[in-house]
Amino acid sequence: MKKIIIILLIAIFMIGCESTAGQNQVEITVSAAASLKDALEEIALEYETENEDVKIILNMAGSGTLAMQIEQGAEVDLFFSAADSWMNSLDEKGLIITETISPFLSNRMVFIVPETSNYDETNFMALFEDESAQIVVGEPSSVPAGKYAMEWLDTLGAMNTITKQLVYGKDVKEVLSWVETGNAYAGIVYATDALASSKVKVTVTSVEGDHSEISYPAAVVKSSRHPDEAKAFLDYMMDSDMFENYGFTKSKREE
Amino acid sequence: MDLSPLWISLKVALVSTIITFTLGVLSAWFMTNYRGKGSALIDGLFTLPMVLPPTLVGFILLYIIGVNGPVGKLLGLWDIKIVFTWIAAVLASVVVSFPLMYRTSRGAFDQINMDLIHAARTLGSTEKEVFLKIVLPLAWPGVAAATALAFSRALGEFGATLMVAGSIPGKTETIPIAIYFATQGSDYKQAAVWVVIVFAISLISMMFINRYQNKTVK
Amino acid sequence: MMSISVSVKRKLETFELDVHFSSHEKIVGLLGASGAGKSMLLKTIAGIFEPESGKIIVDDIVYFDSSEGISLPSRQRKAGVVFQHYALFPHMTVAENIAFSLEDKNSKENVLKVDQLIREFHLELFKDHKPSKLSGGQQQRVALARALAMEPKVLLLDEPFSALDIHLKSQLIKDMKNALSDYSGHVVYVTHNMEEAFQLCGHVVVLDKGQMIASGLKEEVFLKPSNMQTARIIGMKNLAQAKLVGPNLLMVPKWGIMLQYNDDVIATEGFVGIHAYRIKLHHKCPSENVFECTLVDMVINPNVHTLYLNFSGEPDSVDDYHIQMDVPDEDAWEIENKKTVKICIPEEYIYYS
Repeated sequence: MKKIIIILLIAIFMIGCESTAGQNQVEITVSAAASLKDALEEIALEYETENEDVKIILNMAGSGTLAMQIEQGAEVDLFFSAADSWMNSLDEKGLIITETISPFLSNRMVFIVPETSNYDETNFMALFEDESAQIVVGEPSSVPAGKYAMEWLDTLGAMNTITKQLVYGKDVKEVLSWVETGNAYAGIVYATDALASSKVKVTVTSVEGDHSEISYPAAVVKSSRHPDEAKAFLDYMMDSDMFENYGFTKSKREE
Repeated sequence: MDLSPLWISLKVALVSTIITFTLGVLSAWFMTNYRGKGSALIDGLFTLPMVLPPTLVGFILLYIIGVNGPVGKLLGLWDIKIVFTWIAAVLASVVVSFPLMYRTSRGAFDQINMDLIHAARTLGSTEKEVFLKIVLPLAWPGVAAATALAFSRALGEFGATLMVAGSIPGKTETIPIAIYFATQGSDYKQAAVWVVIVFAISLISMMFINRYQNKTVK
Repeated sequence: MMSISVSVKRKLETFELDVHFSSHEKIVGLLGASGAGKSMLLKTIAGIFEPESGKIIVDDIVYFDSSEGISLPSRQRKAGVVFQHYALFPHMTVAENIAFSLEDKNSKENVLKVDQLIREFHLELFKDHKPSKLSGGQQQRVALARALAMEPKVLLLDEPFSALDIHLKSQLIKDMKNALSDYSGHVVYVTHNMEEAFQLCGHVVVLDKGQMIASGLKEEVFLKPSNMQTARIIGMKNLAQAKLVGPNLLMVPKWGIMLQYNDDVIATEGFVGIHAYRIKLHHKCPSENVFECTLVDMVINPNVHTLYLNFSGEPDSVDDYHIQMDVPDEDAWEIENKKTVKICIPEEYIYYS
């Protein structure tokens, strides 16, 4: 038994060593909002194939968590947030190379219902009249998607009636999964999330003015050890069409 | 400040501790006596939720009690939906704190001298009497400690709870959930207030359990 | 007539328990070395463990019968047990312990009953104490009182004196005798001490590694052991195979001697047994079985010197002895500094079977 444990430990150690001993490879750590996951993974792979001396490490979580990590000194090269607020907050604290801030992506919000739902498309507002119909959104003060969702609901004039129906989740993936499994009557997520899922149908898509502009600013972190390589990847992403394949829109803002 | 998370947390933690206590103590006693075939497997199953990440536990629970899951569908026949209710929160807390209650109680029961149990049986006690008059009183310090642990765990439960109960302010937003969202939204002051409150509750409950535990041990 | 019949088979860790006995005697003793299976046997009678097969019947009530599928749970057997370490409930007082088996503890008669037992066992001073405050002897009395409060059909005592100091024993054995004489049911008494067995029991069952090697009235078992193992267990230290080679003449090959012997046993082969305290210095029985033995070793005990003797002149080591002889203190001077001892073995104390 002891022997087996020792062999296992050595194996784990060696595997662990291998993955970080990438001969002369530059490692770029990108902290990105969870909603960017699928698109980012593909584009990172593409970049690595074209640039063999660079390895992209993706660290995905809620933007708030990622910002906290950077504040606490986590070794991150690129920060890709799902809202301006965290980027600005880090910038104010002097943790970002300000010139590199590039809010080049945007998104839409959508109302989704489970694929199997018998929701009546022609009567959208009926959604807000049935008190037992639970509507899931991200928690507004901490999840950007939640903030946009609440703004949209406000624009629609539903805020008075809707509070009893709202259920908050801690990230968009959770919200999506609740709708996918039919536990929620409806939900509000990013258009990109709905696109990626086959278990939900989109009923309404938001338009300009329904909520504040969704912005995904990316920037190089000041403490980065490879700022040039990080900027190179950032530029690559900005030029690429990859994100649009996943449903993102190029932002109208130029900075 | 909206104090509803406090009442919701207390409600959920107390109810779940009562359920966990009953289930934990009874299964621990059952397993102490059961030497049959699958005992190692059952023991492993009872301990499992403790070693799984809470989010995974939440995921599995959601699958089971969700509207399209086996239990959810059954309840749906009576038009009962427990996802997104405080009942779901209680369920999540029970599942994650059960292993603690079970294992610690079992440890306490295993310490009891079997001759005492044999003596009680020869003196005419039924199994129920043996359990209530001999086993439980003698194991009480261990069982009380287990209950305290279960309560703390229930109070602090976050990942699984959020998955099956969501965060509905005034209905299922517990203190840990409130703390999480407060820190995520950079409202550290609010988070700190909740942390102090939870700390106070834990301290009070520990002191209470200690006093009660010592009383019965002479 | 009162009777108890026990026939039990059960596999234990290193041997199998296979015993059957029945008796009309009030007190049956189970005698054997530690680990011989006596406690387990007792516990199967009490219903704490189940035999793999067998029958246990007490006064015509079937406690266990594997062929009929009957196995009464402990609580229905009315079998009072006094455990080796008493198993008193630590969280209850002496009075509460004693009253434990009573249904309605507060009824007039039960309160009276408990009080009576407390008085009988001299526990008045301790009745509200917890067991941890009592001495071993007091705890034993509580355990006994607790078992008797149930008015059991059979009282099972598991080495009741093994946890107590030796010097208290003789008084305690007397007290036990009195307590048992007042009790009207059966008693099964487990012990490894032959004096207790002899003093208290009517019928004795001797166990060795789970097997029953003797069973009968104590006089038969003790005074006429039918095999070497039993003889050893009842305390005969000097045992060896023997052959009848002539009228009243026994040859003992292991010791290399011949013994004059004066009983009527005609078996041509058997064993001899002589108690250590029956061998004398030669001048005490000068015409009977005199031998000059080599003194291999000597152990000095409080009242007696135990000599380890070898019949031949060339012992190999300090363990190469044939017999043990107990010499009382007052005669010890005779063997001071001697290398050999002249002994005699009185014919009447040679036991041959």
